[in-house]
Amino acid sequence: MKKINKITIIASLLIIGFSSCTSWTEIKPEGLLLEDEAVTSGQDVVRIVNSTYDALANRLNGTAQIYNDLLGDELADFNINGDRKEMYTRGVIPFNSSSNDNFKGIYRCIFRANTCLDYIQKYDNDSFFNKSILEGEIKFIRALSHFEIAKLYAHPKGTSPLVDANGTQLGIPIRKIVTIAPVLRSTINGTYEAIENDLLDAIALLPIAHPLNTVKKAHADKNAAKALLAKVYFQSNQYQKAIDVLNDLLSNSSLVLSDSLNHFDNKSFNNEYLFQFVSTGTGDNRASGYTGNYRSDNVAIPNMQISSLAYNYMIQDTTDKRINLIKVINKGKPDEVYGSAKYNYDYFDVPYLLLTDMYLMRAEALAITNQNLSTAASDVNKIINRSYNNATSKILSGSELAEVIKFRVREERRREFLLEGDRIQTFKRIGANGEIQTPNTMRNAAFNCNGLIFSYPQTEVTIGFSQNPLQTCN
Amino acid sequence: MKSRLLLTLVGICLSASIFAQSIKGRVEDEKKLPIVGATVMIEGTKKGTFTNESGVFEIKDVVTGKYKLKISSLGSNTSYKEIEVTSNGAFINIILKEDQKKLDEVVVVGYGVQRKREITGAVAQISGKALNDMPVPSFESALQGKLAGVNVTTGSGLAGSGAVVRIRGIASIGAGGDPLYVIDGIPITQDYFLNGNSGGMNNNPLASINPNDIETIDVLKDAGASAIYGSRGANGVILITTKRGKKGLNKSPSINFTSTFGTSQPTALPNMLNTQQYLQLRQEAWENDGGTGHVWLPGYSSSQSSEAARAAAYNKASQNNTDWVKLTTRVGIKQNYDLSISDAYKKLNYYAGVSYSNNESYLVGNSYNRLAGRLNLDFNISKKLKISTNSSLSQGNNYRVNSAWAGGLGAAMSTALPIYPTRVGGANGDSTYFRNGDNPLIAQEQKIWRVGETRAINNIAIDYNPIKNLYFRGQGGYDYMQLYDDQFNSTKLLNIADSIGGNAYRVGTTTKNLNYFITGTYNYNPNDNNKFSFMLGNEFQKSTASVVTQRTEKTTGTFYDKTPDTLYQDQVAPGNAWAFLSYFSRINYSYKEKYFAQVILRADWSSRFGENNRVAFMPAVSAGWVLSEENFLRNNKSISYLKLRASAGRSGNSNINGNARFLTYNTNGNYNGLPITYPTQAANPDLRWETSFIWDAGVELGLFNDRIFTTVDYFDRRVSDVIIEGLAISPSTGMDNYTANVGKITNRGLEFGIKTRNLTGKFKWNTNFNITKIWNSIDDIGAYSQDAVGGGTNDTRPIIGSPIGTNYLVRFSHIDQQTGLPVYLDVNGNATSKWDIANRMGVGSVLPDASGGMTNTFSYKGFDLSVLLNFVLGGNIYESSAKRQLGVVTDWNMRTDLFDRWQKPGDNAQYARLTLNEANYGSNTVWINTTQFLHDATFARLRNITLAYNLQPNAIKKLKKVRSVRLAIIATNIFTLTKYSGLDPEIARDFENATDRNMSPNITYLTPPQERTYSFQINVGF
Repeated sequence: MKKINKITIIASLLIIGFSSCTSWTEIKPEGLLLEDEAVTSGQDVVRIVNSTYDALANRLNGTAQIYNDLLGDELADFNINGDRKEMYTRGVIPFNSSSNDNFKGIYRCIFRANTCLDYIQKYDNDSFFNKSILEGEIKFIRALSHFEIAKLYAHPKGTSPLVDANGTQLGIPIRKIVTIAPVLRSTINGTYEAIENDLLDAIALLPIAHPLNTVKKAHADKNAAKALLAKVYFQSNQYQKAIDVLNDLLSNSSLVLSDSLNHFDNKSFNNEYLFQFVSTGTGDNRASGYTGNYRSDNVAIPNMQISSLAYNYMIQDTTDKRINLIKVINKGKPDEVYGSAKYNYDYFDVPYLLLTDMYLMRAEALAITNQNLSTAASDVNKIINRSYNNATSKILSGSELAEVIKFRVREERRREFLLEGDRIQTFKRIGANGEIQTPNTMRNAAFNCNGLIFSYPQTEVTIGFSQNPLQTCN
Repeated sequence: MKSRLLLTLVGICLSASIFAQSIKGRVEDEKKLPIVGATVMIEGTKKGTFTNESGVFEIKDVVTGKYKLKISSLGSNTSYKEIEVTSNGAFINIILKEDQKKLDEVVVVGYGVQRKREITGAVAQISGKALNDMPVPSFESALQGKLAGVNVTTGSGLAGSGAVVRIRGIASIGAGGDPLYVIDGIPITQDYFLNGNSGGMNNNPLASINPNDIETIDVLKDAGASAIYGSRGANGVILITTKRGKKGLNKSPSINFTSTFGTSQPTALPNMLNTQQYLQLRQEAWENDGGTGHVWLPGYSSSQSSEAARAAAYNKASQNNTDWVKLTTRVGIKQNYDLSISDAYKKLNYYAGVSYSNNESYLVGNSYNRLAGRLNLDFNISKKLKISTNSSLSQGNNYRVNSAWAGGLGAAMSTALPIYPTRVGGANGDSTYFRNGDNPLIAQEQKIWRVGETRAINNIAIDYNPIKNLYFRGQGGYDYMQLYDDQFNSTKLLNIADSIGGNAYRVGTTTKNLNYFITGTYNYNPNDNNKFSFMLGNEFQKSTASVVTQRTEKTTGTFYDKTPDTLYQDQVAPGNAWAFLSYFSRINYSYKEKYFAQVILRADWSSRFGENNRVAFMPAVSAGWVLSEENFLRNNKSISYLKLRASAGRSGNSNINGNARFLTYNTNGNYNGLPITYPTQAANPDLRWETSFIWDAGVELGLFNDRIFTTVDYFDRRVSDVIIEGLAISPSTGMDNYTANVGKITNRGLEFGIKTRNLTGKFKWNTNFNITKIWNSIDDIGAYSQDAVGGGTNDTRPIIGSPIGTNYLVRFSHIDQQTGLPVYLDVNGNATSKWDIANRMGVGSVLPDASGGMTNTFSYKGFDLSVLLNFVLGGNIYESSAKRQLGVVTDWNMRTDLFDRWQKPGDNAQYARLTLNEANYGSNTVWINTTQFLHDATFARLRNITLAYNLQPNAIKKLKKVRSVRLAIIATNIFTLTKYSGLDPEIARDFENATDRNMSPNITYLTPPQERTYSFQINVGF
């Protein structure tokens, strides 16, 4: 009996001891996609490239542009609260969740782009995709993303002694590989060199016509890379380089200006777009940053309004047809306010690289460098012709002085890109170029005021990382 | 043949009339209340029975003669009674006195039970009855103040809100700090973030548990007790045992019915400004800033408006005076009905219960209703085999409203200004909602929001005793939880034409939690002095969750009202899945019933651990010595019980997201009609559990026959590999989440509990007091900065040498009497007018220095009165919303506290000169967090008073079939002693994640205050 008992006990303990298997814990959550399932072919790499456009479209849907506008002088101080108030008062602290979301969101594009670079090597022999095109697109996206961060988180590159003319001032973290390790800020020269190198690679790798750009310029092609490189050179006060690229682009391109005065008028094909973020419907509106804040047709008062300063500037010349893109609400009453009529669509594409911008950039760059002024005047005239009721009286002659052209082109730029995130960057660029502007401040801020660049998210500030100093300038 | 059969039957009948007598009786306690489940045995025989719900018993088939009855019951002294059974049977009334020592009470310890005497770890027990003495949003809130070492912070006044329960403090940052909840052997689903943080509230996974089903709750506190739960036991374990069948009265089942009806009101209301006050203060700020004419007003004008426009706006605004607090609050009605039935037979015991409750909170539109049922069965197949089942099914519906930062009362306390009307336009001025500023009434009236939860927790257990001293238990359990978060936004809410239609969302989360365990226990008793018990077990648990998000448009109702014709979104999001496989063993040894030792070993494999760390090994040893059984104390007149115990061991916390270790991808969405795939988080193959090394030393002392009974424990917990979830690696990595084992924490404490029976005569008075003091410090956070680890969404940070949840703020010094502007202190303590985040310092702690409670119960005849006081000593509250209510004048409404503000040079005021410009306060943001809004968190609260009357037996006799009636009046949160000037010092705001929950419990941000309730309860037993 005792033997039986012992056998019973031992057998029972053995059953308990070996009744299960550690492999049972090798489970993964339902719906969770792991690497070995997510990326198994070149087709999946293409999907990751698509996701970089997706992520970028979700930041440049007006959101990032509005953050630039908040720093400038084109917005009224109405309904600007919380995080946006910090931007408006040029005092973005390291805990501003809106700016931090934007920062992370744009770097997310870079993370995805760098992830692709790893896989492109892995699936080198995959016949599904064209390695050159994909690598070109990735470099383009990475450059664009770094560029947008540089505009908001670093003082402009330039020759003014008020910025570091040697370009050793702090730029942004440049990320070229996937890593969780911190990366310190490059110099502003290093920043723009990295962007430039990516774009030069992109130009070399991308085709003139991207096979998927049958209707819209949703994917980067060679001209888009050139246009972006020109914009990067222009913004960093490298005007000769900008001119060279623009000459190449504008002479070889078959692009023509749109008849529409509204850059966001793209219900039908807009033939002056070089690169755009595409919306496919109300449920896929990649312009929600704009429509949610600037739209003026479906609300009594737009959430964000044009400042009196900007409005008064526009109506100085009543022949400017672009005034029609401003909606005056409660006209003549004490509570008269101004909204933009550019964004009054349920959904639309957001153009990122525009032929209008290319002409204005070349004209200004030529005027600044005082060369080929007839081309500069011709470029400006293209915009003038489109924009005024009595355009002929405003046309610049081929013999205009550089200063006249420069003044005029900047005026057209200001009128053309009202509430498109351009104004503050133009102000900073010109300041960094050592030019005295009239007035030399924008809403009381000098171009190099620290308040015009955002604080980095506090969690970015690891050992050795230099935070932007907090300084308000109003 | 027929005649012989007839004679036999007659003989049997005659025999029966001679021998088949019964012993009947009733067993009562000293208060004349029935003792249920007492054992009544005829000494020297195997004949016996149990008392039913009325304390009545009957032993049948007893021949006439004299007998000695042995009557015993848990918690009472065993009694012996002589009785003579005549041809008429016998009847006896027995009064059992309360057991003074209670040494043989059974306590659930995880995978088994132990007698109190044998327990070598720190374990506390509370009866279910003690949990049902007051209405609470969720059962765990009722633990507040009742057990030493168990700190409970009730969520808020929101219906169904969960409490933050901390057993012996907190020693985690990114991993969940909540104890493990185990119901009838199943570690249940207890994820507070299944539904994220929406509307200013986290879903409470415990809300659907019916408190009326709970028989006892046992709390395992130290490694000597909790190590049996291995890598999940370090935060303590709450073991819930549900009710089982008991013998009914006179062959009929025992039926119990309880009904409670009450009201809910806030413990405090915010003192927001009315229109006149608001305009006056805003105008003053404007003029202080140098403005002339009328101040511009949010929703009416802007700073760039002309004076004419501002004046017109001012006049228009002054015509309104909306009391948004009044519009968003009410007196809520609470009702609860609970019916249960139970009985026990030779082969079957059953308990069945059904309950319905509908608890409205004081927020308009907010309520939680629950319909719950339970059936617990025990099949006694044979002496060696028993099968038990526990089945519960509940349906909880939480009718949600926006709160805190999301709106509702939160909006009334912030952005809903008194100058805003509720409606504008139309001939009667009431046709459309005012929309130029925050109008919480729109969502309150136009949004339907219901979070419905279907929960079924079921298990089946087999107990088999094949040979003497060998016991097996096999149990399988299934915890199913389906959560539907349904929202409907009407066209008026969306401000679109009715013809377009509203939209509706449904987020469905289904969690399936499967569990089994097998244990084998062999008791080896070589002689009377030496006893061993060996237990070996194996457990597996697997939980999977799936999340489906659906959206429809052009609709007129929720998904549950109207099945949508078209889905505009039907998306599966990654759920959370995890599994644990465990082997464990417990070895107990006792010598002469006074020396006890225990060894626990447990190994856990888990899917949550990275591939480089797959198994956690948790050993613990503990010992106890009952000194009062030694000869030198046995007859001591003062000391009736004295026990020393100590334990040391490892326990773990692996309450981390099951997905955290993976490199993950997502394919949701598309771009320009093309599919997308993208990485979402980096992998961490080294991810592992937190390891706590815990030691505990305790003394249990009973004096004067245990009229005074105290327990003192000192504990020390050292945690390594502290998990940081969502570690803020540089945002420029582009990655969303990264979870890693980073830090070290020390958590030490002293807990003291005392129970006294002050008066024991007809008028009885008992006191139960406990207090726990915690010392907590962070020892290491690796190479990461305080900001990288973060404090959830609040301004707390992990600071080396300081407690978890240290407030990290710029120090506020005073208001300059000449300028009226705030003066801060820099890191060196020098005064500065500049608010600079570089001057942030660790300045306070959201953890209390000590907390506890005191319950006094009085009884006289049929009356009893219970008074519960709970208290918190020390620690800080950070009133995070005050910087907007009492700081720079913005688009927020302000509080009347601002009447004590600086207005002219020389004023000694509490608040600064009013301004619309944050630059005047030395800041570039209005979010100026300083110690100005850091308050002492000390409070004492009269948590509960229950006055009850139990109908006396004489009165009950008149009620047929009724065995007991109890009527009670219950009041909760009656008053609070505190210096805190905000709404309510007991704060558990909505949390974004586990880090937030651990680091920022005492931070309020428009958090709705607790509720004050008054209820009437009737309980009838049949």
